[in-house]
Amino acid sequence: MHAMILALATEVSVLFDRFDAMERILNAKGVLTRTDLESWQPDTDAEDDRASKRDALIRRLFRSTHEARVKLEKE
Amino acid sequence: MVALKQEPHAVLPSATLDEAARQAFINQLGKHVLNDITPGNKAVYDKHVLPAFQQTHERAPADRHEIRKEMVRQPYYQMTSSFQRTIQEMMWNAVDESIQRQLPDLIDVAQNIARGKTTGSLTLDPNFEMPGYIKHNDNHATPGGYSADLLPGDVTAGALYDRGAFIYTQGLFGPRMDGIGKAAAMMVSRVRPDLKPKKILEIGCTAGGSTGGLAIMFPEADLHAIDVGAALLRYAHARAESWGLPIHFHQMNAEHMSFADESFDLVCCLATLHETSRNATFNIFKEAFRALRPGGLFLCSELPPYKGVDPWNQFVRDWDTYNNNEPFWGGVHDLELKDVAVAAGFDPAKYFEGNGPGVAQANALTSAVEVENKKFMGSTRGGGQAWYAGVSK
Repeated sequence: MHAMILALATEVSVLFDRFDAMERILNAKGVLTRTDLESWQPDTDAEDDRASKRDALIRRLFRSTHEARVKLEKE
Repeated sequence: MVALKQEPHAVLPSATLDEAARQAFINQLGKHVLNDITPGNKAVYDKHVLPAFQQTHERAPADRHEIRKEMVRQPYYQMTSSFQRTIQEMMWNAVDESIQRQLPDLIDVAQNIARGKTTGSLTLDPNFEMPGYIKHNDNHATPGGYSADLLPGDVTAGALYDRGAFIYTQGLFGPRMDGIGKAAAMMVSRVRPDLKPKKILEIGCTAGGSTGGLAIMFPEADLHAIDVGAALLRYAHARAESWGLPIHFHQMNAEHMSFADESFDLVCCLATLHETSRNATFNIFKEAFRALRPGGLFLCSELPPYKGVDPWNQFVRDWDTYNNNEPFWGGVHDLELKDVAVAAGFDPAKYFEGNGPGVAQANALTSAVEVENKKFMGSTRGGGQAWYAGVSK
């Protein structure tokens, strides 16, 4: 279990590094500056949309826990 | 779904793109656990714990303590409790990281404000003796709790509370975190419509959220606020000044204040008693009595006491006592505050307690947005009615 979590953390860091590489290249080419990215604020619609996606992720994360609860309540 | 945003001020910590994403995710994580996972414990209790208890003892559990002793052995409860505590710590850590990144700037801003022209004031006590029940506890798992003063001019404790509590309560106290203060002011108007307080004291102001609510609702009053932590008060002062709210902040222990006898018309103690010890509660009432003018009002708001609540729901509400560094939570909810008031010198005939305006109604005063309040297990995170205990002198 610990090995799986450490492997997962490693892959997350790999993702970050890839994002970072892309941001540096986009910034250097003037396509998307770091400043624009870091200062970006979502409007209300974007905020709601992003919150919905987070909720969806959380639901998938806890799917088995939710099923355990439903099972308990059905007993 | 309306996104509840915290209103910026001079010392509110900013969030980078990633910090905002982290804080938002942790916030939603906590909400999900509280609303969708933790309530499953009721089925654990009803279908397993209660029947097993009845079989063994030939009676139902007598109190929340008997329930807790069984529930802590249940895997589902262990899991939900662990999630809640872990998420609580994650939330504080996410906010703390953000604050530490910008702390030198926040300190600069606060110091510049304090040195400039102010409508309120800040009075710190270099010889202040921190009460043990604050010093030795990180209340609700805040790193450093209320008392940490990390470096000269530190404002970490205030920033942690202001930003962290906003996330923790999911914005339900209002964009200015002043819902509790505004609701208290509404309660004053309800129970003492005759009272037009000229001088007001708030005991336990923390970062000045509820104090700001009192300032807006009683704009003519001379408003004073006390707390024990210098880093809370420096932050609260800068925050209030940046919004033009004239509040006088003092570093003081509510158990022995330096205010003169009979100097206030209204003394408020909002969501503070559960952060103090049982002894301190008695002393605070005594001090409130001393500091109040005849005809004045001492108003406390708290989560409702446990009396009249069935053992299961007492157990649910008592989670913070055992799991969230709130050692006095359960005790305060067992206290008969009328007895405390009488011991302090108040007339029992003038004592009242009961439900009153909550943060949702307070928010509705200044916003057209109807905030959806869900029932949370564990402590209340905003929503519904608030509970008040008050007594006139």
